[in-house]
Amino acid sequence: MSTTEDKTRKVKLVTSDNEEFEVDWEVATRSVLIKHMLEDIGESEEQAIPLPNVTANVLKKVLEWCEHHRKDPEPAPESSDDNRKRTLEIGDWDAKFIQVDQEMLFEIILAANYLDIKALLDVGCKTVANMIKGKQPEEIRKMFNIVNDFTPEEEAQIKKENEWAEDR
Amino acid sequence: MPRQKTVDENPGASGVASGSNYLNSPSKTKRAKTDSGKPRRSKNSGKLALLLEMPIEIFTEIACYMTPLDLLNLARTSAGLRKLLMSKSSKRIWEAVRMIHNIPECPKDLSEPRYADLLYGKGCSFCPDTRAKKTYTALRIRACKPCFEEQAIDQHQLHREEGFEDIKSFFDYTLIPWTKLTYRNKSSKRCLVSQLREVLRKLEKLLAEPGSELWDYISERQNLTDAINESVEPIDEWLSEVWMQKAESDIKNMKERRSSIIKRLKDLGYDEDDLNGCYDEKGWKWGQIIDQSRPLTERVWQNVRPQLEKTIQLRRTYAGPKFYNDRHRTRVFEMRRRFDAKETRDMLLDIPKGRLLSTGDFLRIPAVVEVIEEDGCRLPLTDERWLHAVEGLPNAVEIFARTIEMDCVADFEDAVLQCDRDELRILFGAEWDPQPDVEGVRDEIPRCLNSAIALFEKGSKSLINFADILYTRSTHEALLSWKEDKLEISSAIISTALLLLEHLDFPKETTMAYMMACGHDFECLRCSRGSPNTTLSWSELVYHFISNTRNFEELKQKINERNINVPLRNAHNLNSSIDGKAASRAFRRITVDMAPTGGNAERYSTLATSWGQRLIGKAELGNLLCVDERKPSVPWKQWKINPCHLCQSLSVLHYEHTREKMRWHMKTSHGTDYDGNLLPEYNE
Repeated sequence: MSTTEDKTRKVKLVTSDNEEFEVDWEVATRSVLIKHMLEDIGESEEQAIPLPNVTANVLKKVLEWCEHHRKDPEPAPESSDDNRKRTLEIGDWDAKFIQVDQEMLFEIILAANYLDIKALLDVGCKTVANMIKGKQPEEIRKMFNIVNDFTPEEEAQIKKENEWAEDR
Repeated sequence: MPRQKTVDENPGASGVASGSNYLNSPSKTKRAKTDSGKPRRSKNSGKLALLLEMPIEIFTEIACYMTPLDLLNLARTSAGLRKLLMSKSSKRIWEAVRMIHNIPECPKDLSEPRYADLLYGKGCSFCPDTRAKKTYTALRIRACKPCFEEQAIDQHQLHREEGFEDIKSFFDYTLIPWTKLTYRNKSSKRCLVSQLREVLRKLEKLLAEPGSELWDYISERQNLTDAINESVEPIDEWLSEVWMQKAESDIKNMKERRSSIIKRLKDLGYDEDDLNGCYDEKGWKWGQIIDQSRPLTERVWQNVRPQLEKTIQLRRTYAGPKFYNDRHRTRVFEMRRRFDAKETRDMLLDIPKGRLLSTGDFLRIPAVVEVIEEDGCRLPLTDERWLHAVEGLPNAVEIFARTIEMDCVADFEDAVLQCDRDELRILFGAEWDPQPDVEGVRDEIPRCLNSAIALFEKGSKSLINFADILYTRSTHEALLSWKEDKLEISSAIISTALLLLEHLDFPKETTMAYMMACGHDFECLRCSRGSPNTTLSWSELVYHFISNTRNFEELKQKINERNINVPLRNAHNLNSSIDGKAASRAFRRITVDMAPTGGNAERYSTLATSWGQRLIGKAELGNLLCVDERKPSVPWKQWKINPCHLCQSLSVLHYEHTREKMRWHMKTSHGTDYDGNLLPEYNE
């Protein structure tokens, strides 16, 4: 539970390329990882939190998202990721926010995963999933830059074969 | 933090891409070639290549937001992804996807991928047909009709299966799933023949082995069938709901696509007619391009635009006149509705001769035509445009009335000239010089149109005078415009009218006003129409002689054609000296206080006071006038006199009330006595 004092507190974050960001406590704690780290170091305001897996330009983008969502209710702790109720909708602001190039998109997803920001991870994953949605195998191959390693016979066969690999 | 395993590095995904080496290998990268020989990359090419470098948990997380069909397609892209997704370790992904799309629980007899294929797959489960096929949930198949007929049998065919007789005492309908079909209100059940044969073989085998697990097998099959049957309803409900949602979504997308295309075409300057396909011919591409659920992207628009513009050009070439006619009809309808409104009628009452204007005449006024035709009939009739159309109405009405007058004078002149009667030319000649450019309201009616001989034939049924023409037009009985109204005056009418005036001892200058004032006092002295109960008005009297002369001519022609020897005379020949007077004003029930040549109704303003009431009536009105003198009519069946036998031989039935009248008929119409013997004085 955050206190009024927490909300006025500033947090220093240091990226992998040694850039330092000073942000509001409320913004920084959208990340469950940072929140736990802040809890570990106590009230030592001067101590910067190192984020070795996040570069400055990605963190900047992630913090932009956190700033916009600073007032969002904290996600309820869930027993298991698998059981949580997922939805397909993406908010308008998030949809605009995530309109970035492929590299940045996956960097954001990785950063959200590392920083444990579920809502941002969901936005990234839904965006990628939407890009694949409705595509035929050949279109997906093009998107992934991979070649078809099935023979035409195999291709025809797998269309009919939809069992678990272990059951075949 | 240890580096996480990526999709590339997944040992199971070796077929996808063996690490980044695979992706970077130019020899294995397929690229389309452009015309210039340079590689061409599609817009999406490599767009998600980095996904394969993601940690598996991220890939799994992304996959959880796809649809089951996307997972199937993803598993069909490469051996590596197939191995990853079709592994039971990926069950979590399939379950998550199922949950996100509210798909019912996966039945125990199906794997998640097979369940996904049953719900989302297309094509026949038995043949290579890839078009969407009907899903038979209970049988866990999709099938085209021929394959279904071949692969599924009904309960009657079951008994013909080999080996069925041997095990029928153990066979139970609950051992295999059945699907219910309804065809023409008859329901039947079908099962898959392959499943049936498998069960039959197993039962045969277990029966042949003493101490076998026959009853365990039967119980196991029954449990399986129960489970399948239980799963059918929720799955079918879900399929039906998805189908409904898809149909709604398709309709919505179709509407959006249509409105988007229409807007783009309008922005390009095309108008409503260009976009109207009601007159499209077979082969013109329009509906099949517009009415699709596929969203209209910029690329799609660039593809469809030339085809749509080609159709628009075809419409402009071939359907343009039809569209013009439609628009014209609409504009005329608007104008007609305004003209027929009470306000307009009231306005016309205030205009001299305004009542003469019928709707058809109004629509021919140049100012009205101009408003209708403006911009190719594209402009609807607004209040402002209506006022523009009617602002010159008083003048237009005057011109129109003058047109009626000039047309009648011209017709009368033609007929008089054909008569070859010099005295008539002298009498009316001065009035045959029309003055179309007379300005202001003209009140005088040309004297020739007030003459007793100025009678016009309307549709071969009656004769009307000029006052009557004005009367019928002013009471809106004339639905046709003046130009379409068929009024004719012939030399025969003028000659007949002149001769009748002579027979009546009236001067040729007799006015129509006088003859109209005489009412129905005239009688024909050549036939029974002269009796007191069948008197005639002047125009009826003239028409009576004209029509009887025409009848005589027709009968005469018939006699000649058929070479029949029947004596026939024209009893209504006004030039015959032997028959004496043809007509008379014998009854004189009406007192006329004017001389035959006086009482001219030669001004429109005078004539207009009588508009709205008939100046002359039909012959029946004459009957009413002499009701006291009327003799009771004898029904024809009770007539004691036989019909005229000479007329009968010409296929004409002619009756007379009395022997005396029949004798008169025989004499005037056949020149014979009562018995049909020729009378020498009538056959000289």
